[in-house]
Amino acid sequence: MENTFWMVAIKTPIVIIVSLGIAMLLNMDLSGRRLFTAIIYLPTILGGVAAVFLWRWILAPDGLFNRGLELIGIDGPAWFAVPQWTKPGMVIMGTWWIGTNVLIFLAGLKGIPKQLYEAAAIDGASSLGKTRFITLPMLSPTILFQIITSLIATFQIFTTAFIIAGPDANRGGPGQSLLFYVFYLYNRAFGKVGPLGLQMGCASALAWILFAIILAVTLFQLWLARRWVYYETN
Amino acid sequence: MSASNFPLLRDLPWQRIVPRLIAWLLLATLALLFLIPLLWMLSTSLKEPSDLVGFKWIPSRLAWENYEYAFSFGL
Repeated sequence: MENTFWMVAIKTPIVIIVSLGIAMLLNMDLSGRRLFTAIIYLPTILGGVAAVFLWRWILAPDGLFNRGLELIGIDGPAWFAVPQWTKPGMVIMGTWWIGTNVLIFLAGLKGIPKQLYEAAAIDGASSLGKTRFITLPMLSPTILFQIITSLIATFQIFTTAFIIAGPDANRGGPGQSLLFYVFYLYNRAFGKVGPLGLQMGCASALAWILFAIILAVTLFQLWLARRWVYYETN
Repeated sequence: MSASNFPLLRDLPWQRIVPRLIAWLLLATLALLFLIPLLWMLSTSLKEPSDLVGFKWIPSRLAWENYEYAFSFGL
């Protein structure tokens, strides 16, 4: 359970901030932005089990990622073997599949009327001021949508963790560090036969509890949203 | 209104180009980082088993038979 909340609390903001940053860069009318958009979106097409295996191998103790860190003088950990580094590894892997979020933010940014920026420029607004007082308020409905969908997706995280845990699946990865809610549910339902396995009743109950948790979190977000989301219509 | 608040006077060429250059470099770096895993997979698809040990980008010999094998076995 704590594993799930860790991922929700760390991964969701990282995904939102990084994808918003990339979308703002892509929205600057720089040359080659179509190519960059395509490259950023490319991993999303490749998603799936094969890509997780690719990442398991890149984040291996002497894999590509640690070699890259060596170049900038950091001694990388054995990502998916040490309990405290498995979840950061999952976050690094997750930010590779950011394409859809970037695309939604880009669409939101394109929907902001140009006149607002022109008016602000005439009033002598700095680019930081434009971002703070035009981009963010006008984009707030998109940000809310992204927060809610990312939260739900992170609560339901399973496939990647299951593949990375691999032969350790019964114990939920090294030191149970990847034992996310749905992972635990799966082990209850389809895991080894015994006191912890093949308990369909318990697993179904867990699924309903997760639904209730996600519903509660989403309703809380919608309630919070009344304080910060700006809709043009009202 | 002071001169610095007037957009036409403030937007000297270098003041427009430098931030855009930085943004472009940032974007290019990010794009490269997103591409590296894919390129690595491409490089490995052409490696012989002996090239898999250690760490190199360019295989010592382009092992096209990997694709031959994939087609005859997997498809």
